[in-house]
Amino acid sequence: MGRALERSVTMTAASDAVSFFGRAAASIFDRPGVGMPIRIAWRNLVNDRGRFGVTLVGIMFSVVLMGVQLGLLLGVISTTSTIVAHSGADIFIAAPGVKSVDVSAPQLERRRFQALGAPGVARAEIMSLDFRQWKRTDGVAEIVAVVGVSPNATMGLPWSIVGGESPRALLSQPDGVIVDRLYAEKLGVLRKNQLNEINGVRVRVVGFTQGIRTFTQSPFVFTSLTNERRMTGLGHDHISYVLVRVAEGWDPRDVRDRLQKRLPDAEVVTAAEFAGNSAKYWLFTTGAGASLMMSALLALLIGGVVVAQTLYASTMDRLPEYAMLRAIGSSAGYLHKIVLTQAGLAGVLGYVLGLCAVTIVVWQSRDASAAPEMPSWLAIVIGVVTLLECLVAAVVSLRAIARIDPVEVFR
Amino acid sequence: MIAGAVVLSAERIVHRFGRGETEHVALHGVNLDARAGEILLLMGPSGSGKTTLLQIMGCLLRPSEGSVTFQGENVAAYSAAARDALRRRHFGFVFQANNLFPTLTTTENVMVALDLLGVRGAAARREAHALLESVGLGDRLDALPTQLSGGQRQRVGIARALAGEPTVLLADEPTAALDAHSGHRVMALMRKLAREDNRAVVIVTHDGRITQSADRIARLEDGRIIGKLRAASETQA
Repeated sequence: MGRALERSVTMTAASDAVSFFGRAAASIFDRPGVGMPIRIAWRNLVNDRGRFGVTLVGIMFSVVLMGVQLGLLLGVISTTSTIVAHSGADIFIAAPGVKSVDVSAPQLERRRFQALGAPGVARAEIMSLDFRQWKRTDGVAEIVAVVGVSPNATMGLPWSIVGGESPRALLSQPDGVIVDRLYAEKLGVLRKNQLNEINGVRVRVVGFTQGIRTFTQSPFVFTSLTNERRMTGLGHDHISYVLVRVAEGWDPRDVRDRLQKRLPDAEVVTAAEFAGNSAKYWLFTTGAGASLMMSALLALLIGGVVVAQTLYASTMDRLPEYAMLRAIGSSAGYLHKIVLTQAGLAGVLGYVLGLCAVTIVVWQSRDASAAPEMPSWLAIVIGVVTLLECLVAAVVSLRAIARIDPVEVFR
Repeated sequence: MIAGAVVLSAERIVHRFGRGETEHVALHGVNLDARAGEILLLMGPSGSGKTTLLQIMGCLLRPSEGSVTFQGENVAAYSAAARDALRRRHFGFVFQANNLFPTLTTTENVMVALDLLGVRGAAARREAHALLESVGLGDRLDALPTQLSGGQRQRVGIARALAGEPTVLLADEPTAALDAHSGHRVMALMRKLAREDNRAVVIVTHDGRITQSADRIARLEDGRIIGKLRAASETQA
């Protein structure tokens, strides 16, 4: 009973929303000042509500799928490079062959001192990153990516600390680790100061971050280098990365080249390059990127086909009137304007509805481990692509119009 | 324009459809003119070529041979764009099926024709209302075509044809789908447009009921005008 009532209320609300939307649009397109091609295009659309509904659903479907897939792609890109992007470093020095920040390899700490001696280097600090076993209090094991940085570091520190506490203060606490709230449940962390184990070493959750996602599904756990070394058992001179900040007035690419010459057996990349490499590594080695892009492309294609079909059917319905217009002296361009306006109006309305749906999806998944991102530039790009999609879909109808012979009006 | 002056003239019009074995000659050297202030009826059986002749005189179709002269100028060789402009500015068309936009009101249907002439906004609305009032539809300005009778729809079509005050009115079977009363009303309107506004009106029809409204009647058969052009009074006699 309750569910039926809820469903009824939801459907009424949806119907009211569509009705409101239709009235609002009609109040725009039926105003006296609106040009005839726009008026004809609008009336053509709303005259057949069933067909208009199918068109809007088709465009909405296309926008939602494109938005979610491309948003997820962006989410994956930013997730895979989040450690690099938030490190504050200009250059990363890694072991040879390291292509992604998550897939590190040990190197000797002396590279830090070699880097410090290079011209243009203002600071060089170290970071460790390795996958380890986290044991929950209920005995369940999870794999985590342990990030070790010095509490005195200026680069590579955790960010978005809940409660605004200082990351340095938190990392200075003996056996202290910082986990992200998104993964607290996965790691069985119920509260602050809870004790857990990483590789058999006791750790204490001293703080939380908010929104530091991981593509590998192994949550990042930040701790001090001292703790990290206790967990990993690696020697004191083994690290994962040297993080470099260049001196003021230096171009990071110049400094990178100088460092690469100085450290020929290391992988020296700018932070932007490393972020890009990390994203590419996961997108193309897992096939996630190709899959997301294919889905977005498919959505574009399906939306285009739906618009093309419904627009063509609507144009064919109006052929006698279009032939009449040609007979009384209208140019073919006038008819093209009507059809293109019709396609454009459907595209804009479908896009607005689709964007509302995408916004809801993005909002709903804000706490999920894989969340789509919808920056305003992506929303604009999808809008432009949708409009182009609809205009291209109108080509079939334009061809039908081009074939109109005005004498057909006498048949 | 002086009443009785030749406005539109078709000379030695030959028109062929198809080629080779499928060629069909629809018109064989037809001569005909339309004059200001009179109604010219084109009558004849189906396939006699009367609609083809109307299309050629209305610059919708180029004749295979012959010339069409409008106000002394041969328009048969005009470019497509120039013919579009000529039809827009000087010719009004009334079609058997009206071809009104079913989604537009009567006023908006007339405004479409005005829009093609560059008359827009409030001016177009005012002019559309005036035209609809002139055809007796002042009380149906916001009606949709589906809310009108056949005769009323035809009068909306006439109002639309009058947008821009055309010199020539070309009508294809304007009364064919109407009852006697509506047909009479439409023809009375046509007569008024010819007589009072001094327009040349050319009507293609099968409808024998309307011959009394005509000034001249041309009978076509197999693409030729049969006999002499006769005045309507002679036909009735």
